Amino acid sequence: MPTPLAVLYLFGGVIWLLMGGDLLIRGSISLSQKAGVPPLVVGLTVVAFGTSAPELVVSLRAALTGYPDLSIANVVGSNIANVLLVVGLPAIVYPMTCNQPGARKDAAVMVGVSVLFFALCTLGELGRPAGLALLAAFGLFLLYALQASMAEQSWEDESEEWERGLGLPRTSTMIATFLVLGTLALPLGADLLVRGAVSLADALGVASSVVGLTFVALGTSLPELATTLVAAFKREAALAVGNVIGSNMVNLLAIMGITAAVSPAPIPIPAGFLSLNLPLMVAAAATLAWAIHRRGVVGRRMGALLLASYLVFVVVLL
Amino acid sequence: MDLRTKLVFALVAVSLASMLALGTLAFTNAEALITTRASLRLSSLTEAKAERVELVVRGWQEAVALLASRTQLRRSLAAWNRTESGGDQQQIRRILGDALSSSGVVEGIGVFDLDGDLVASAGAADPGWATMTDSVGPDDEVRLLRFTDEDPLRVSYSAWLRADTLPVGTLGVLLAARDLSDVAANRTGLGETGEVLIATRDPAGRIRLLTPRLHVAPRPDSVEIRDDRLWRMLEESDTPVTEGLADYRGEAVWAATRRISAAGLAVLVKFDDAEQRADTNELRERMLGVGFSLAAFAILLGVGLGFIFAKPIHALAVVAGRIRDGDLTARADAARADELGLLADTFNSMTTELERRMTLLQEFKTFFDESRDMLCVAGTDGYFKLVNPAFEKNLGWTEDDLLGRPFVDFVHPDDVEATIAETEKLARGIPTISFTNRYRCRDGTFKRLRWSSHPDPETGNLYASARVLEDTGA
Repeated sequence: MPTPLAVLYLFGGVIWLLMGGDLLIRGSISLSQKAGVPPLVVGLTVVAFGTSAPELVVSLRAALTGYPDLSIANVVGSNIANVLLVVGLPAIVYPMTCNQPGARKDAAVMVGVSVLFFALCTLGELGRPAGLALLAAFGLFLLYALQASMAEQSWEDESEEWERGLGLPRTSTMIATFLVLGTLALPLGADLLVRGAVSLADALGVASSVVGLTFVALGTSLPELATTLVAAFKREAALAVGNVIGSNMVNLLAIMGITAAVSPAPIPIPAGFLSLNLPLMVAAAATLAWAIHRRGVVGRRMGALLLASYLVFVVVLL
Repeated sequence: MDLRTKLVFALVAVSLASMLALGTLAFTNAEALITTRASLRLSSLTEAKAERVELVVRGWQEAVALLASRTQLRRSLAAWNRTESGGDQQQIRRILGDALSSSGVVEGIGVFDLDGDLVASAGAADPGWATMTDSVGPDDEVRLLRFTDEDPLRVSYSAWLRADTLPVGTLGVLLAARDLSDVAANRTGLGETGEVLIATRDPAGRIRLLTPRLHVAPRPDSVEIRDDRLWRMLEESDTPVTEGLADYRGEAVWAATRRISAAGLAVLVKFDDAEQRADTNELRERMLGVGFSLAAFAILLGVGLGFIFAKPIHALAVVAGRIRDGDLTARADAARADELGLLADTFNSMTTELERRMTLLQEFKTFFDESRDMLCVAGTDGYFKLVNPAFEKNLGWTEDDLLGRPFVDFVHPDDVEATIAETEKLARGIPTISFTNRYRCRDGTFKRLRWSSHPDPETGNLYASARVLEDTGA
């Protein structure tokens, strides 16, 4: 496949994934509302899973079609991009405060989970037992998150709520349409993205894990980056860091857990992961946690440092 | 559903449908071209292989004919026929030995007299030679007898030996048939799955494969090819490229055959359907992939347009909300030159008009509330609809008391008849200039009121004002 076509596939895959995830979330929220599920539970389960659905289908698709290194690269790359890029870039625009209750604890848990994941990877591969262990840890995390959010007030923005209400399907037919289209769009996007990534890796002469760490991870992190940047320009980025922390945990525990648990063959740890990518992921998580713990804010200088690290990382990889 | 989603759905549906239409058209044409090309390739390969086989067969025939034309051999046999001397037989045996050692393909030779008795032989022998005087008719100089059963494959020939045009005996020749196997084994142009099968008919009339099959153990045998049609193609005359066949693996294949009737051979060339269609399948995959990838632009466009359209509408909705909540100074941004700008502009002038009327209404309300005269609106149903505070001040009844009962309930019993008559006049559209009746106060006393009222023919409402004349006391 020629390079421009591979890039087109990557682009198309990302967009379809985002649309699929969005439709699935909106359909699920409406459905839960009709079923009378409390909004808090919806937010923690349906929305959290919905926003991670693109990463999940990409990882599953890659593992099931014989590119397991792409799936782990997507997750690790996504976590690195989340901290270095999604927090770093907006922080340059406007310092990001993260002084919500529980932020310090969440950040510490994220570092712990990253270290746990790194330790599992040193075994050489992620098999079914490792996947089940990650899923069990995810169950604990969900319980913890549910308890924590029970104790807190809702942080939902009113105008956001209003716009979301407009975007929700009302009739049962529309809910079904949203769910079906979302369910169709996700694997379609994942298929395009994986094929594009593999072809691009071929064309560039690099391992598919490198493309997974960079382009695919960046693609699936784009919406977070866009939301956070817009929030930073409006100087309302208080929730962004919390979202990044949540997304990183879901990536490592749920997505890698599910992928490793259902993958027909154990997921091998690609070359260079133990020496570069995984330590970088842990270091990025630790740096963010340190910044939150120390000052409760990610300032411009820290943002510049994070962004520069990301650029160096990408250059080193390619 | 919000505008953005509607736009995304509509644009994606339109873009996918148009790309599907275009893609189907392009794909159908491309598929036809690719299929034709694949079909031509198969056809020309079959032709080329058949020509190669013909060349091989001709080579064998020429080799046999060359042996049969050896003058020394024919003369020696003619001499032996006459004398049956050991010297002639010796001579024949020596010639056969020379021929065997000087040829790479000849593996056995035998010479027979006209009675079919062996005179001399060298190398391997074929039992079929003994009957060759029967099998070689006078018209056939050289005749292919059969392909042997052993491995490697050999072919058995016989030929007339003549001296001065008269037959003196026959020659049996056993040739190595590896040239035939080489034709089948030469995979030039055959791709991954292409296969050449060369078949003949065994004495029992069954089709027998002479060359090894690509996808099974490398031994020629007469295992049935699963698809009857494929089998029949070997028996029939030349068949063009045929699709939808199944070979011995059950795999769908395309095949074509040519017969080499001189040797009783049939050449079959086949390709796996999957390989033939690989190009079209890849084309279809790619067109679908590109189509869906391009549809992503429609999604982006839909989201973008939705955002552009929805933003001013949202802003307008916010302004409308502020007006609803009583802030009449709120105005929408009408700087746009499009329909949304026009809407905002109209909305703003509507708000300005509303504000003016609200101010006016407020003034009337003040006038109504502060008036010392009693002002009211009543329906032709006999109930008050609206009363001003002067009613409560003068009569003591609250607004709810007055609105809850027919107004004649408050009228002095002696005045009820006149009041009803006056109301009927009003209902006919005749205004009251001055009408006096007595109204009961809350404390049980009566007050004399002078009314002037005006009916509104459109709504049937009565607009009335009343002034207290004096306390009646009664």
